[in-house]
Amino acid sequence: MSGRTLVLTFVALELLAGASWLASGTGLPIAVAFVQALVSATWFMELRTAHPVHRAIALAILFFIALLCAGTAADSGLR
Amino acid sequence: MTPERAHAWRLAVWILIASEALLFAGLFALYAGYRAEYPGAFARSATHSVQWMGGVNTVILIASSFAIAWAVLEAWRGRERVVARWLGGAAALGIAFVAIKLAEWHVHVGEGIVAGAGGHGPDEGRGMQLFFTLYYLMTGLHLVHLVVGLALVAWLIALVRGARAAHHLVPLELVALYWNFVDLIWMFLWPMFYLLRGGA
Repeated sequence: MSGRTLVLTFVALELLAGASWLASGTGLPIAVAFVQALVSATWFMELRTAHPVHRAIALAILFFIALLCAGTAADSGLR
Repeated sequence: MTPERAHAWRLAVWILIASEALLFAGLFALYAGYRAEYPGAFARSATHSVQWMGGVNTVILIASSFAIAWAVLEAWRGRERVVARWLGGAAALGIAFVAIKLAEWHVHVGEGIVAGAGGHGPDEGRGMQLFFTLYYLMTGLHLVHLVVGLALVAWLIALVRGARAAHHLVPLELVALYWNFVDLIWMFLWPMFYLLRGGA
């Protein structure tokens, strides 16, 4: 991980936070949060260069969260 | 630390992060379910949040993540003194976050906005009660995680000052991983409780 990459990640996250703030009142901030999470996990949490097992755990987390969201959405939608 | 032991520690921390992520995911799902049930009350409740305090805390937490990531980089470069300084910076930013969060809760309690029923704040019925119960629960749980992170960073500073930072690279990496995860959770709490003011 280079210093330049860290600075770019930091600037990108702060800019995305600003964009999220400007989009207050719309649904956009949640989409921005997913992008921020992806950026932070990739570079600050170093998933890009992590061991394959650690990446697999990260993917498993995403899968279970998606499953939970789908279950909640189905429950709300089918009432 | 042997490479095998370092690998085992990294795996353990990733499993810890997975369990923490699922804990928060359950609460996110609860929020989504109630938001679908009370869209208007949730959107109006968010207007009672102190948006500038949440915004400043977001900027602070991202900066603290950068500081801790930079501390890891400096440890790789073998600059012990600089590592402690960057860790100190991350801790100072974390303390600022805690202070602002507590001040924000103080503002809410002053307005009569409390968790659960029995508040004397703006009356939006059950929807608002649920919104602020989840607000206190989720931001409170996040704050507990941040305080644990602060304790770990304080321990790291003591460790790094006492010996070469490169010797403590694995604990440094793992605390940074945990700290960045706590920051990542906030990236979702910020829009959920401060920015989603539409959809009424």
